Amino acid sequence: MEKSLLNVEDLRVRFYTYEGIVEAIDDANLTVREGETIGLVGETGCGKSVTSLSVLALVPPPGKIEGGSATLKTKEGSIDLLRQKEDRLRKIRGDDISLIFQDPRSALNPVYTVENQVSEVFMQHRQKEIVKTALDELEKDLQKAGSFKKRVYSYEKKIYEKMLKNPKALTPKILSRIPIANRYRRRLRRELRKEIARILQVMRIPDAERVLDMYPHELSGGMAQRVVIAMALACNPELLIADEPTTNLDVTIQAQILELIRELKGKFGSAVLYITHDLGVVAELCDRVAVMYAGVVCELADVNEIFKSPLHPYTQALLESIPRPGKEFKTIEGEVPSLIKPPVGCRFNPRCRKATELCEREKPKFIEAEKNHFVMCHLYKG
Amino acid sequence: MAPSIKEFKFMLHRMKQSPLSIVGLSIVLFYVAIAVLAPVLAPPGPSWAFVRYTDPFMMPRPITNPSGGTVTEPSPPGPDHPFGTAEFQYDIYYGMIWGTITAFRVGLWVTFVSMAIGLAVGIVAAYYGGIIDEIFMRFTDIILAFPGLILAMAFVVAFGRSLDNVLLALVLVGWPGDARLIRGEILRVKQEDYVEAAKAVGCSDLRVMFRHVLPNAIYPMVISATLGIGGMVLTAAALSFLGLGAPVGYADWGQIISSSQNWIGVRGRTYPHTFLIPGVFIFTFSLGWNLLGDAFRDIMDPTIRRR
Repeated sequence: MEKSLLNVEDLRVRFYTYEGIVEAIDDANLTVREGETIGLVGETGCGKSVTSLSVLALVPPPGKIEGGSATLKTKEGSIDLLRQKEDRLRKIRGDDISLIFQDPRSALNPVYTVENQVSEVFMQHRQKEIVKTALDELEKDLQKAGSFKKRVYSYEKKIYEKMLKNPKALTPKILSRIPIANRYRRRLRRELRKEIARILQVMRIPDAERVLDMYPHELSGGMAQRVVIAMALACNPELLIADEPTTNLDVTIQAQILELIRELKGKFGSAVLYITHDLGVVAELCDRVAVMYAGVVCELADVNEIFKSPLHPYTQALLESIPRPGKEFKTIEGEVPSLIKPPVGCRFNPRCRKATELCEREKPKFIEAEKNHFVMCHLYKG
Repeated sequence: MAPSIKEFKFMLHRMKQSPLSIVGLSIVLFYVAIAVLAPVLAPPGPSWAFVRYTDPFMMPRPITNPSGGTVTEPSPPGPDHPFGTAEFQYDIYYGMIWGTITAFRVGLWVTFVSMAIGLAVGIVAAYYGGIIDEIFMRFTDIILAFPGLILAMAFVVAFGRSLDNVLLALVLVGWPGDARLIRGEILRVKQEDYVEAAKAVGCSDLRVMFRHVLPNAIYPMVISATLGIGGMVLTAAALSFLGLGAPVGYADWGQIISSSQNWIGVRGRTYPHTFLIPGVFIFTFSLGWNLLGDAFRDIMDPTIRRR
């Protein structure tokens, strides 16, 4: 029943900066199962976002993916995302895997209306379907059209058939730039608009028709995030990566967005990789949790397991440091290590209460300490 | 295309709200009207003309000396010459009217061509980065290192005095600024989240560049171009004043001022109209473009309008 959808193994990402080589991700392991919600938690700068960008092979320079694999199960079999050609990756991005950004307002291009932005995703991945529906509509119109209209419609039909045969055909592209000749696009736009309005309604956007014509700066934060989510879910992705989608929203909107994500997950059946540093959200939303520390995934288990019986000393310390009324507030001694010269051996060893001499020498392996409970620590044997 | 009509109406609405942009637009439209109506306002070859030129841009001269020679001294405004005449009796009114066309030619042509070159260089440099960026930008730095007017003068002196060479010289000094501006803007926009987002939905590099980066990067350039049209005319006038522009008698505002140099106050004979009238034309023309450029900034950028 639990088939893995995405399998990240020994991922290694480095940033070649002026100050030195930043070992941002060092042998990170992560599996995402079909249809599950997995939380990726960790402190700021521990490599959560870089992990998600690596999966899309979008690590910004000077970053480089230096090792490991990220196997995604698609309809056409398993593929390693880190070893794909750029145009294959482009087909995957937005279609199989999509990304929700932290700040919805800056994730929308300020010069395009909502309609234009969302239609781009459709045209990238669903052009065929859209053209087909437009063609069907056209067929209907053609039957009841007069002689003049018939001529216009058959001209349109020719273009649409060309587009259907070859999505990159040159003629429709050139015609779309010529006034009057580009009127054939009206039908296409009408179909797109219907489709987009439908998806915006699913996102619980009130008055979707009006929102379509708005520019991003006219939207409120929550509304903008809904549009971003709509774009992400437009093509029904297998995996949705949500990179702290609620950090820039206020608490009530945050609750609404979380509710929406949970609801949409049921509807679309996508797996969600939810990146956050809010353990409360994780407890509420996720099935499983991966804890990251300084570029490594140190523990991966069911959400209940993590909260009830954490294995890794970092996770234990992290959970103890959640302030609770009536309890003593504990902190983790020391500070997050620089990733330019990270500690040798286990990266947590300088701050670990249970560290031994072995931890300073050798890097622990990512092992299954208990059933479905993975940990990267010398204290446990698989 | 209903949305674009709506957009245009909104643009007009925004313009109406700012009086200065209306002034700028009116000035520019006024000059456009003059340029379009030039053959009507000042028909070539008037009845009083002494020398008939085949080129309508050559200002006509009246018969003033029965012996057939021309008079050097300007004459004040009169019935035949509403703005008076310049040195060698060239009709200033005719020069002003046809000079408007010259001014538009200088302003628009130079701005357009240097913008096109700057855009191409800036995009290539910012898109490819690395060594190509380095080569292109260092080359623009070299050109920017010369004082603009001096470089333009050197160019015109080297290739001969003519209006065409002035245009080329202005393009030569104009494009590096545009290239630098657009490159910087592209690099800024490339950092934005929505560019990353566009990549994350599977857009190709070219599509990201032309659909997502460029439309956001082009505003400063459009504004600097509109503001630059006035500046180009000023620089062209400066070159003409220094005797490096259009030949004597050509309908060009700078050239007319240049020909008034001897009549500003030397030898006790002053004809202020010879430099005041072209001066006012040049001044209002570039003022109009400057005001319009400001208005463009407010109107065109969707992020700072519609509040």
